[in-house]
Amino acid sequence: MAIFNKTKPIPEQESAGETERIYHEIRQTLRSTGVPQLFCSWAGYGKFLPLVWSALRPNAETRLYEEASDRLRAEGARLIKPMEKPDVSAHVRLGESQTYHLRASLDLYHYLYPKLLVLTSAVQRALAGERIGKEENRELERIERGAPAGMIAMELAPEEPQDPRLRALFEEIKKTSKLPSVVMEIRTLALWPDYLFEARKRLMPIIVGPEYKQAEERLKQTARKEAGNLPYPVSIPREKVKGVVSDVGEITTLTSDFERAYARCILNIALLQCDWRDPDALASSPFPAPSRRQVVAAGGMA
Amino acid sequence: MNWREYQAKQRVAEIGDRFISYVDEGSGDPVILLHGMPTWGFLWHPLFSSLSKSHRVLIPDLIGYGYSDKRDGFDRSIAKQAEAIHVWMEKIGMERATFVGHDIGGGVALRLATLFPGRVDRLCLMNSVCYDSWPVEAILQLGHPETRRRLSARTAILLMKQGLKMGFTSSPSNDLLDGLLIPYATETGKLSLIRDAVAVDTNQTMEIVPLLQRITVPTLILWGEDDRLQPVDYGERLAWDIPGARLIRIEQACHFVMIDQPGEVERDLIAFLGGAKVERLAA
Repeated sequence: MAIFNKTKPIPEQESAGETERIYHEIRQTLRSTGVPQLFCSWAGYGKFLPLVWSALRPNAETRLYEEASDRLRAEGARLIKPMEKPDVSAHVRLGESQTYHLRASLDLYHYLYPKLLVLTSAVQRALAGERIGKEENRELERIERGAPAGMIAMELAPEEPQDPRLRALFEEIKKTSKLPSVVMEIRTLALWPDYLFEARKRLMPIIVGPEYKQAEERLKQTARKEAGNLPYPVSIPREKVKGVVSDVGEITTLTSDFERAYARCILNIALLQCDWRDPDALASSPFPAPSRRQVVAAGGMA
Repeated sequence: MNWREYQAKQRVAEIGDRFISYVDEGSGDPVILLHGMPTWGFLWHPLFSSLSKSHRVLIPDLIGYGYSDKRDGFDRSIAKQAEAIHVWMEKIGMERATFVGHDIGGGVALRLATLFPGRVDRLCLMNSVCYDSWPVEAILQLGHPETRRRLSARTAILLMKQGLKMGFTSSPSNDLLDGLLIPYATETGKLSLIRDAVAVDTNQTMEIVPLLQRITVPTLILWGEDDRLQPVDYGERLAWDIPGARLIRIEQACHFVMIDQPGEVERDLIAFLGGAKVERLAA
């Protein structure tokens, strides 16, 4: 069911009040230079964002969640190993600074997408009434807040670009992905249109192959398993959801569409990074998370 | 040269947690060109080809500008910019250079000449911020935190494009204006420019006023006479306070003097770089 245009996502720059405050928490907790589109889409459903974020937040700042995402990233890197590589950069002329920006942006999404897939899977399972997460009573290690020092700014081409080629591409992507907006990494890559079009051309034959389909499915399953093992419960009772959105089915479909999109995004980003990195190196997090420092000054707290 | 061709020439140097994109072409004595607000290194493209025939030309995008680091979370003041340029020079293995600065790039060059004098061989200022000549009203408005919420990137670009036109006596093409503003056309770019605008601080040019008299390097001041943003009176003050500095007023030129009168600016600058006595230039 195509649901795009039903509810308009709230972009970071248009957020206000409670949404803006939660966006700040999301950036800080997920260690990102921007707010992922998943949350902007959920924010379009008003009070659903505070509901879902309060359910996710306890897990989102733990080391165990970071490690679950790391495992998912490593699995993505392993799964793309046998696939043909798109070798895009060899076919596009980019300068040193352009390449630097491009690689740094791919690093950003390589870090972020596995984290998002775990969270999306957790919400999807919770919405289906499943019991998600454990009941940890002990104090868990938390990771440092805020975007890592070397992470590039999350820069996105406008949702409605002036370039007619890009506009047509964005429309096509929205239709096929069924998402209310174009996935972030496409909008970032659109800052280098020649690269984006070449990447699309070269990824397409790989994406339709059986290996890719299996990998996508495998990633989704792993993410669901990791979500189930999160240290704290993710409770999003259907009754509560009904209290804040008119159509629970719409939220479920949206979340499911993001789950599918993120599994693909993880694979695509890994494939594109093979232009510069060995797949084995892609298994590691580009931004290993330090522990959150304990503030021991008098009266201080962690 | 369009902005994409120019951008493709840019290299990158990491300085701590930040990075600077810069063009580095030609060989000979090094010349570093510093842009102002709200532009980026592309501003210098009319001078780039001719200068690089005889000199090593380096054009960094200031941090928070152009295609240098645009993360939200660091100080973009001219004090920090001067420090960043100092560290960048160390990173690329350059001891000294001639500095050419326009607008806030001129403010950065002035801070380098007064506070890091070992870095500066010669100094050329073009319609530069100095003393309390800045910030101008439009930049103060841009720097208001609410601007982020009130203006979309698209609207902000349209307004800036209108504002930018006031800086020319010539009629800049749409392609040129688009090229000058392109790094700020995204929401991230817009926010970065807003943070740049927040960082403008008169105190950072006023605090170096007592040091201007200690500048000993040859100094040329090129000023578009019709500039209402940075009036030529300020160029006169600089010429009075910096020992041996000479002011050349460029007629029929506004704030973007290098675009309004590229031939004249190129001729005077190349003569200055070639070691001609500053006095002779004005003749």
